[in-house]
Amino acid sequence: MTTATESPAKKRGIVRSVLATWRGRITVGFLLLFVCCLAAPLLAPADPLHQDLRHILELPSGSHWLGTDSLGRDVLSRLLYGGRSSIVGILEGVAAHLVVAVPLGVAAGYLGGRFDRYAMRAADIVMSVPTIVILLAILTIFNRSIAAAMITLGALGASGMMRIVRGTAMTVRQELYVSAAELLGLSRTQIIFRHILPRCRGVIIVQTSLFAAIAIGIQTGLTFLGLGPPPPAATWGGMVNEAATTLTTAPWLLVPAGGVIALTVLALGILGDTVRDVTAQSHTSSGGLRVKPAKRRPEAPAPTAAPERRALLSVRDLSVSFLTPRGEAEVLTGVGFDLDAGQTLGLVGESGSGKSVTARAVLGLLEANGRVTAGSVVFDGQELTRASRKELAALRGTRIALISQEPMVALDPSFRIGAQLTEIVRSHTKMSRRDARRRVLELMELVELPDPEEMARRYPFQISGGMAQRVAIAAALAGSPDLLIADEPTTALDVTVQAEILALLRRIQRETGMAVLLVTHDWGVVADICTHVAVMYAGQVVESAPVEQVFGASVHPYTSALMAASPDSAARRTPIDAIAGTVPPPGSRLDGCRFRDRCALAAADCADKDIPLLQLTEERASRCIHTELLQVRP
Amino acid sequence: MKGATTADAAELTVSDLVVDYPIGRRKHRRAVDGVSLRVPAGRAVGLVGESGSGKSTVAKAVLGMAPVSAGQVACGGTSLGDLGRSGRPQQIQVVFQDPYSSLDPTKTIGYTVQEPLRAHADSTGARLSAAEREERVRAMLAKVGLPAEAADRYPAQFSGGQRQRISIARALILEPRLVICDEAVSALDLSIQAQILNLLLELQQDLGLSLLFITHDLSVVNHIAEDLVVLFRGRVMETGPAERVYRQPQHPYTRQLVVSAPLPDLGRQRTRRERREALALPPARQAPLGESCPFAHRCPFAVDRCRTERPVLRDAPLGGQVACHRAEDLPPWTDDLTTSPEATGSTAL
Repeated sequence: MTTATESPAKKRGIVRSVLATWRGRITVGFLLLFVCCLAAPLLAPADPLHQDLRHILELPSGSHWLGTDSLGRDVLSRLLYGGRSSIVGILEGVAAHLVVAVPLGVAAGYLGGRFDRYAMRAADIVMSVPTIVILLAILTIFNRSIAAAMITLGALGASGMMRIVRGTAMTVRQELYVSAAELLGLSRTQIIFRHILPRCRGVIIVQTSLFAAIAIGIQTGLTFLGLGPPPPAATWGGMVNEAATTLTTAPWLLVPAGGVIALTVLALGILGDTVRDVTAQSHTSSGGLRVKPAKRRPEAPAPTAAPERRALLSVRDLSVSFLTPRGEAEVLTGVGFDLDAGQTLGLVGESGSGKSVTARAVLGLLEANGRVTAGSVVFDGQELTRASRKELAALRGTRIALISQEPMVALDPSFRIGAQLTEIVRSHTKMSRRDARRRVLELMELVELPDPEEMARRYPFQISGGMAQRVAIAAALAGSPDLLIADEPTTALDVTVQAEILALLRRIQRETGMAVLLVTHDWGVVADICTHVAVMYAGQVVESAPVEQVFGASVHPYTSALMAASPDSAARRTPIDAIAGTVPPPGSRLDGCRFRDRCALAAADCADKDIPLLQLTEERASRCIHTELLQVRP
Repeated sequence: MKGATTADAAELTVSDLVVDYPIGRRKHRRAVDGVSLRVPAGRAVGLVGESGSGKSTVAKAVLGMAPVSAGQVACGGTSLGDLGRSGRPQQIQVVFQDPYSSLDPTKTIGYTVQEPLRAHADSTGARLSAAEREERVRAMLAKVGLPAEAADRYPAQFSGGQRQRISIARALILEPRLVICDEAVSALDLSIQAQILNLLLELQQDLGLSLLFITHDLSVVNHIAEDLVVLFRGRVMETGPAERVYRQPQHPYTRQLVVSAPLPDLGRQRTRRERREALALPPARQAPLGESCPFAHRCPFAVDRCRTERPVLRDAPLGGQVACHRAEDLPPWTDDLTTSPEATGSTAL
């Protein structure tokens, strides 16, 4: 499908984004034709009321492009005049719809409180009113005035749009920039016009186009039933009605009127969808990427030399790409490391370095648009990049477990913690329910949850984030894994809780001897728990070594620069040695050394060719060709 | 600019602030329980605490965004009293944590940074011409390290660190006297965090700003703040010069915070970890607030008195203030940061 994403060069308005999609162009084009009906008196080839009984029920011809009806009137002319009255009716309806829904919705959503409550109750009451009955009454009172009926429809139907606008306004109200504007002393009106309404524009357009489609349907329905302007006047519904009476003798007559109604409704609906798609994209950081899933398997994994030393987990030359609307983006390039039982390897880097993607690629848990393009992941002798879904599923949880930054997300809020853990235990072992429950209590004790019995009866929302992470660790340990992948396990936690969780991980690791692959950005966490470190930058491992060596004297300028950027490294209230610039996103990475534009030691030859990971000693590797310059640093 | 700040001492005074958030009918949760703090003119004060400590609520109360049940907030000698959010004096500005939610995605950077100027013009009638406004915006963008072309672009085209620079530009364009940074660098990567900290420090020193720096990160706050206020469950546990509080904590909670923060140094972190283990902390449990010390249930030094009598903030043995009955009885504290490169004494005044 066509997904227009925001180009980095400029931000497009809604109209231009819609027109950038083929669906948008077609529907907008069609609706413009529809609007031409307004000029019916100029465009119509004949008088829509002029009867010519010599030429009745004719098929399309040069003189009557769409044929004639049972009284010999020109169908095209009647269609144009009928369209004109339809448009006028829709415009009246939409205007009434917007006038009622938008101010009320925005005000209710932004102001909240009592106004919101009253407005919403009023909307509930209006929703319970049978619209069609009211419309019939209005048509009777106002002498078949379609305008009156459409305005009534617009006003009565406004509660739906009002709710949606209110919902959007409520979301936008939470945004910090609205708080910032309030703190500047802007009036509520100013805030609504400057900051709230622009964000509601998308949903308003979507809802308007959907309402217009409904209005067309209702309007033609009313005129079909003869409730609109009396017969000689041209209306779409009336034309369908007339065509229906001669359906057996002249089936063609139904085509122009029925077709134009169907196409208009369809165009309005598609337009609404298109606007929703483009507006959903424009305000999210990911650009609302929706890409077709790529093949998960590497096409032809490069035959790699079997690792000399058999580590528990051995990653070699792992490359991962993500399919984006702008093409395939290589997120990881030739990542490699080894991890043995009992070790803790810290994958360290900033956001955009690829450390989380690496952890997920090991587990075969890349998102749908990502795939391993090269390299190998060997876990205990088994090649994981070529493993089937089933083989991976058998490994996950039992031999390799994962804990993430957001433990709460992994827990289902509608089940008690004990029940969730029991289910996980039973999925790994063939235990009876009773044994599984005993095992759960053991696990909960293992992760030092206070009062396991009581805790098991609680729901996830009744426990703190630190407790939730303990529960997640208990779940991860349920299958006695050999490898635990911990993706920023303490980042969302308070520092005192973080210390407890790290102490817990260290203790469990000492007791079970499992290997831990720890993704983190925090050098303090690395110093606390890791035995080995692999520093990542822009999708590559730039340095790997045992932790003592990295902290002692790192052999890559990025590692030392990242350590120096920690506020602990500088004297109080003096400038920190920050690294200028930012981590380049995939696609704008440099050739040669990827760090050279931010590196203090960069020389001309850094740009010459891609720098390989140079093995300095058996345990130590660096992707820098000027390590000799680093040695002068203490 | 500098003359103005020295002439009329801008400072923030919060006294005995109580904030209750309603939960359900007739019930409330006390988020801030009698907090007092001062931000002297031109000084950087750090407010540090964990989630639920009420640190952000204090900021919200100062900004008029939280329901104040009791207590006073005064700015430069004027009580802010019941002024709503929009009635706040413009000499207080704020930089929020989330660089994504802080900027209106539908407005250009130039518009966002200019908005305070327009708002100021609306309230004072002193209008600037479009050219003057643009000039001010360009100067401000340069000050926060962004190119002038940035004014014509939209937030989506900027990274988190750059957005935080834009938020800082918006906060500073009216030349406020006090800037509240509510976790302003917490969402940023290490290298970007260092850039923003340097920028804030430089701006604070150049412009003579007062800074209320709110964070959960002890190493960040210790770097930038001259004074520290340590909050726990809505109460002030300890205050004093940042250096003293960080290196000679006199409250058991502050000590726990310090030993829990891992140091990016193998040897020092090993020492720190051993000290943490030696503290023999009781397991974390929820304790009811009442007339007890809020930390009593987690405190290895708690005695019966701590569970029945709420400790008041009083002068601490080594300077500053501490809310602990047993401050004098705590074991002596040896600084584990002795190999730190910094010199003794505050480097800026």
